[in-house]
Amino acid sequence: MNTLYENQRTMRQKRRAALQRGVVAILDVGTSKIVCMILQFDPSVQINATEGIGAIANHGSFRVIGVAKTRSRGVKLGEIIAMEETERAIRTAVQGAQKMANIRVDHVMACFSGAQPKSYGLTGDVQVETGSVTNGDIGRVLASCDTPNFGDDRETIHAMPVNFALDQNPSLSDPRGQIGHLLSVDLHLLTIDARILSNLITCIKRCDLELAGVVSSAYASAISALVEDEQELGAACIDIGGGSTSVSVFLRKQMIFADSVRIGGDHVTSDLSSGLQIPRNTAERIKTIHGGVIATSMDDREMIDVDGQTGDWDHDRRKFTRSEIIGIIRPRIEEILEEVYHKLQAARFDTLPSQRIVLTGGASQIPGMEGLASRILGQQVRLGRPLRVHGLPQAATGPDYAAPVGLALYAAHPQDECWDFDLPEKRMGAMPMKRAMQWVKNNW
Amino acid sequence: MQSIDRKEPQLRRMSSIESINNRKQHAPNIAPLGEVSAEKIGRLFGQKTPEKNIKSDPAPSKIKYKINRMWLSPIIKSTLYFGIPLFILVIFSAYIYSSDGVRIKFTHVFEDAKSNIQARPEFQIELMKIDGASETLAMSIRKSLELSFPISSFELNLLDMKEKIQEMKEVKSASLFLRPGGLLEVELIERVPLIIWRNGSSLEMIDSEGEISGILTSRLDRLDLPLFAGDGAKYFIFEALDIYKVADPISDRLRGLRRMGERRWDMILDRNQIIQLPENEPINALKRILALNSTQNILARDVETIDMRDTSRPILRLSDVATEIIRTSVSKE
Repeated sequence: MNTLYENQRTMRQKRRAALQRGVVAILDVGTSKIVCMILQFDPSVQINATEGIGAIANHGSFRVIGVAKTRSRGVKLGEIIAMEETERAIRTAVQGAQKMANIRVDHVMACFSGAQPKSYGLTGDVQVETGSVTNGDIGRVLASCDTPNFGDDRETIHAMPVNFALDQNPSLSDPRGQIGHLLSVDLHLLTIDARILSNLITCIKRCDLELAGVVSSAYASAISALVEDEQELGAACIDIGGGSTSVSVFLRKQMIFADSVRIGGDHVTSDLSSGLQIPRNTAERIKTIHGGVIATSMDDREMIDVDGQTGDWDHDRRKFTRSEIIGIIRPRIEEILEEVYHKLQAARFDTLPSQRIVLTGGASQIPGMEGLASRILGQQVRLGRPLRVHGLPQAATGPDYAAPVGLALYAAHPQDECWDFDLPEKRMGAMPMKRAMQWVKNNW
Repeated sequence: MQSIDRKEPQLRRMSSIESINNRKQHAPNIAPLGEVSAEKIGRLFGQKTPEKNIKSDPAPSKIKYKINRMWLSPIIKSTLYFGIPLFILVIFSAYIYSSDGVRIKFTHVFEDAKSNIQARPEFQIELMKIDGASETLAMSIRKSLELSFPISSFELNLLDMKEKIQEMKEVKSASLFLRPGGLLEVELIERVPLIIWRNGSSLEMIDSEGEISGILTSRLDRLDLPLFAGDGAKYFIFEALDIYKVADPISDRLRGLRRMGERRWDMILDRNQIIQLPENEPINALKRILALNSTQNILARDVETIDMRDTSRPILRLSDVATEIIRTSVSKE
């Protein structure tokens, strides 16, 4: 964990350097599109941000000066499978955004949805040394959490202290300065497949960019799509993207669970493509223009021309009713939502005080989605759009931009994570000594 | 089954445009081949439309991407837009300055253009008009300014000219104007001389402010002005002028007034007759002399000096000849 800790710390430093320079890029590597956003930071507003006015209020500190979107290549299920292709796509997006912003950008924060994120809830406790809680105590209590053995091929992407408890007080968001004896912490650890992360890092490095942070897109889209009281009372954000659907659960303004379902809008397209025997891009067009999930009798009469582009006259001039198309789309969407439901069940979402569900992401725009989701997931379903940020073009305000916008908000005001605190330096050396002393104490 | 066309039969032959329109009306999907695009023909005959050559991957190559980023980096940008033009400018101007031929040519061109503009008829001054000056003064002004017309108005320095004119003693103030039509107008206010003051050997004309307004070479030039002499005379001009006014009956004989000892006046007549006026109330004393003159014709006699310093009585000093005559006649009696 130590090398990771160092890596994350250097990324934090790069982020700080980027903010000082005033320009940072946001890169959302998705399965169907890659978005690059260039943010310009106003240093005078940044000063206020340190005074703790909250993550939402801080979004006035930056301005989007360049946005570019390109078709994603070489990404499947949110994971890079052809690095060369993805690198070209990233170059396209970055160059487009640079052209719009007319500025060169060196630091980039990235988010992606794949790589099988897994959540762990950890706890740790420690005796407060000086009577009142200091930064050092928080570092120690974070270090005292027992890290589960998640394997060598996985890496921690987020390690967020979710909740602190000090003696009898069970829920503190910031215990610093408070007086007590026993400090304990709930830590939310999110791990992802390390090889896939390293693929992304390599791609970004090859584009001459410096990585200033990596965020899970489940987290990023929840930041922008959930409103503050939803984050406080408990809500799930379901970002239905192209290749994967990410799920995150928020309580008390902290992410307590994240997961992803490896099905998304692209699967709907391929279903249509194989079901109607048409090319993928035609299927994509039919899905976006005529797609739906709830058929009415009106849809039986609505005929849709399907152009197969094969050259066969009969094949290219087929017509389908909208009901038939809905009949292909709906089972896949239901499958996605059921998978999401299982994930939420696994996270014991039903025990939360409020069970708000916010659907966002490109595939959430299918008409009737809200109704279908409320049948499967629960009554409190709404469609979420990302928060408005300065300078964002109208074309980039749809739900499919939830993740990049959330990442922009995160870049402006990141959540304190494990690596923002100084862990006790001699942890590795001190622990065996401590154990030995304990053994001696116990046995004599 | 054929539809029955109930339109009236065509009587005349249609023009080509009419026939095309007619055909379009009745059979919109049939058009002459010239009007149809290749794509449409393909579709009409059930052929696959040729795909437009869409670039499958619009990504920039690695080198293009790097060059693009390089152009956008601030150092390169500022050098390109500011540094290089500045450098070229500096080099160019240094080259001009270092090579004599180019520089001289440059200055020549500049001077030529300048003189061309200055020599335009709009800027030519043809003549000078002097208002409010006597002819002699105007002559002397023209002589002192030394202008040769026509002259460009750029070559005139009006301020210097004004100072030069105002330095002249006859001029109280001057203002110069350039009027349209090539006219240099000088408006003068002359000093009006009131008296002549004999200061040592020179004859100075003095105006009412006590300023010297000119120097005479001869008294005969200005016989109309009264002549005063003696130290401090110019500070009591108005008193002297009053005396002059009273002395009007003998003005044909009066030569001038002389201030004596900076306190009183002597009136000098021709034949070297002198009337010595008192310090106080000299006019009254003069009036008494005039009264004496009118009754006894005293001034016509051979009297050298009439002393009125003692106001109670005039004292006469006769000439030597008169004294001798009187003495001899008395001794005869």
